Amino acid sequence: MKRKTLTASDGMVLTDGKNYGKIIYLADGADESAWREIPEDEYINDEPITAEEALKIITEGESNDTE
Amino acid sequence: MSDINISLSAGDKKRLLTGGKYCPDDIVVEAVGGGDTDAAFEAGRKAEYDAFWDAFQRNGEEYMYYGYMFANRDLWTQEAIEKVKYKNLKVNYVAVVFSGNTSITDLSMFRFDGGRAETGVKKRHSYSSTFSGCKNLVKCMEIDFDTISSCPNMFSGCTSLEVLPVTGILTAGGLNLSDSTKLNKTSIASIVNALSGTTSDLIITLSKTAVETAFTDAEWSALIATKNNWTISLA
Repeated sequence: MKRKTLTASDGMVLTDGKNYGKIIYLADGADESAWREIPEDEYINDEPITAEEALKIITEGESNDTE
Repeated sequence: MSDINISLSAGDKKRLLTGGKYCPDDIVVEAVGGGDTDAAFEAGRKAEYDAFWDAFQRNGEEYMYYGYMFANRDLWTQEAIEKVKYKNLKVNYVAVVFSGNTSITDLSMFRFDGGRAETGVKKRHSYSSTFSGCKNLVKCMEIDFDTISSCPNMFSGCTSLEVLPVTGILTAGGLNLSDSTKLNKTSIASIVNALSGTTSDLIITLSKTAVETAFTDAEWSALIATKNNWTISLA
């Protein structure tokens, strides 16, 4: 079965609020309505982490093991 | 190591023995036993190298905090980083290890060893911004997906990345390689093939340019057809 695909219009980007893309291959059962188009110039890709975020990472401690 | 003979003239010996001033120019220094002063010098350098790295990396035996360890682009140039003694990095912290280092181009000689739980299962770690901003990195080290708990911004800004070998199964969402427009076909295929077949509601983002450069439409469709449980974004 061919999976459902969303394609952004020219000058636009698709986003679910967290992820961005020009073409989205939706997983089986994924909610298509979660995706919307925004103008490309509103898309800020991979913002550098802020000094506060960096400090938080550093001060989280010696270990970030999850198991 | 060579022995060193130091000889003094008779006059200097006398002056030295009697506490008088002697002339250093009269001292003759020669290496014996092969006379290999270069070897002696190199042995000394090697001893200092070992002493430094054994202290810095705790003999390569302890799991340690590597956050921002190799992030300084002026200190950790490609030449410098290749001199790291223990390239199997025993890490209890993987985030931001190389973050922002624009000097490095090739990390293929390194590995992360995140340790194992008492059960023997590999420990998972946050790879948050581990390589972010490494804009000249071409060859990444092999990444074991079995050790990833999360990976926000792991490769953000890695615009030169071509080679990313992976092992294991990726069960964490959010891997974003949208900046890696030069990622090669083998790497992309191995990443997609490593996506867990049992998870749901997860998203991976790849570079549209890289995918369209590496694959025909038919090849790409066939590749992702096996991962219908993942939403795949091309950015």
